[in-house]
Amino acid sequence: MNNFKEIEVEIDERLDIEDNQVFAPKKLAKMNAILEKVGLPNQNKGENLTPLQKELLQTFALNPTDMQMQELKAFLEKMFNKNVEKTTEKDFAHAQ
Amino acid sequence: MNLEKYKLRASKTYISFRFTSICPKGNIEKRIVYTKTKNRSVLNLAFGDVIKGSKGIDDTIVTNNDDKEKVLATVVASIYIFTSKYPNTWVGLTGSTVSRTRLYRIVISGYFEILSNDFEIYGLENQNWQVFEKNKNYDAFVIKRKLV
Repeated sequence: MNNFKEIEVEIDERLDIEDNQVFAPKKLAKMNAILEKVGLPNQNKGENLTPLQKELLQTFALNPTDMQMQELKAFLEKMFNKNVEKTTEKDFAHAQ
Repeated sequence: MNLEKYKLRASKTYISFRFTSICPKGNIEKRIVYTKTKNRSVLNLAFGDVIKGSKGIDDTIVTNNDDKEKVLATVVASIYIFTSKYPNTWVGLTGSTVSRTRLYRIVISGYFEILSNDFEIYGLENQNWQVFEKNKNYDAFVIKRKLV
């Protein structure tokens, strides 16, 4: 049970002025240096994908993270395996 | 897991938060602010005690107010609020000291079963982002809400 989402929040307009202020500048500088040098988590370039999966990625101009890629790959494999196993000519009869 | 949390006060944008740590030893005002980085996709989490008479934040002090878990649960809850408003934004986490960074790792590890359902979590190891693994040391973290 996740109760992190259950929390009492009150809007306090006095805090609005803090939105653009810099707090913890050393930590910010450290994070900026990391982001400048390393960037964000590796944007998967499509290694280990089948040609069809690569084409799908290009078609939809996706640029997923590693984790999204794992989920997408699992989804695509599941989808296509299912289609390959169960699709027959009858499935396309209505389209002819 | 039913965790106690403090009531949050937030700016209209849900970028700045405050709450009061209440304890017999005395109340301590805490500030959480998601600060812009040079990368527009990432905001860095700044968290610490409000310094009286100053606009600053003390993220090095250890106040030992006997409510550490409640305080940390409140910070995590703020991440949920922030990322529900800005689901495509990454949140950067890094400590002011090695021990502070280790504290983030302990918190993420402690709540990993919950957090990993809702977030992509990466740790920085040898200048590379790795998918977060519990109880492994990292230099920094970035997290992002999983898109449903």
